[in-house]
Amino acid sequence: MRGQANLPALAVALVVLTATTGLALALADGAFAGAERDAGERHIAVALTERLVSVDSPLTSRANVLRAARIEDLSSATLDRNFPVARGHELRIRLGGRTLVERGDPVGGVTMRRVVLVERRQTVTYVPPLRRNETTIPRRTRRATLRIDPPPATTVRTVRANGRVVLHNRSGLRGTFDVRLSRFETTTLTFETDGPLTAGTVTVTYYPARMTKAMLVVTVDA
Amino acid sequence: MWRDCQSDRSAGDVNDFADDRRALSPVVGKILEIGLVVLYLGVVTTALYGGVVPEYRAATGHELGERVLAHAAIQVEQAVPPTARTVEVRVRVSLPRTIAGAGYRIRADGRTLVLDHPGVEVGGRVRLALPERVVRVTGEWNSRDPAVVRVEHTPEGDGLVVELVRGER
Repeated sequence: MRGQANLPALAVALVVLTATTGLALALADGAFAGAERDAGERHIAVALTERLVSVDSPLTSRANVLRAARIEDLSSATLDRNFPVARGHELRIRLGGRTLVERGDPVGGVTMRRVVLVERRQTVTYVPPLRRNETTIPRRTRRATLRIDPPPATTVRTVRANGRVVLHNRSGLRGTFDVRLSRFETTTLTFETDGPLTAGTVTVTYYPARMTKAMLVVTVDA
Repeated sequence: MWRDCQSDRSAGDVNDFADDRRALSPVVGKILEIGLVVLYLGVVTTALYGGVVPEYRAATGHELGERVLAHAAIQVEQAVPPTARTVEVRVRVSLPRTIAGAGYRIRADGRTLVLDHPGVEVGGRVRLALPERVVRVTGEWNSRDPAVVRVEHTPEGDGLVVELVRGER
């Protein structure tokens, strides 16, 4: 082996090359691990969030507006029945910092956040003074319940809401009636009678909505 | 003297060349080096293409397959419009032509999307989140053709049908 001084140099070069290759593979491994996304979980989180706030969701009154009363009924079982996409996954649904549904222990996973409106319906009853036989409902409402109990000498034939006839009976209205109103404008109810209506003969119950903003947070784990 | 010396040297060299083997040394050295490098390349190539590269390809294919399926599912779900009297939707979905170097198919099976791929590592199924008024999901996409989602009323008019169809190029 005389004069083979190149061989050790070659061996060193190969060792360096091997080390570089190993380093490159380690980096590639790291890149692979870093690029790992759970697309399936993400899809479920996106789909579930969209379905929860869609128009035809059982929880909403219209798109992106959740009804507080329906939210209370949400459980793991009703969630699975109404939103089959969530079946068999660990998940947590939070609304405004309160946990609505929690199944399993979703640590990590994919989280979708969405700003929604929460609608709380109240029931308010008032007895209008009925000056000039009309009353303005203080807040906008989708419907109202009128209890009409006129004095014996008076017949209420027609009730108008902003000029539109909502109740009419030629022989007189007496009793409790539900009327549908527009939720886009303040309503003035006008009573057409053939005699005076006194305060206390009409009771109006209306159902104004209280809207609050909240953050809907859906976390889905495999 | 110079001449003598020269003639002496040349006479002596001719004799020496016969059994002097020092000139072989670089040749042997180079052959050894070439052999070592070839051996090294062989080992490294076998290790890479025998284990690491196919593993990475499979991992990438698996990941890409998952993403393609999830992407397709989200696109199908978003193609279904909110409640409307008449519905006629065509949405083009962009899908990669190949996953892990091979063509694939995405087909509807009930309310799920299924990814069919010749590779073992690639594939899967995902449940679609669709509203109640979608009656059925049919059709399939081939990755070589443009993919289009079509949403229409059923002939009876009692719901919507989601179809995966081949689009115009």
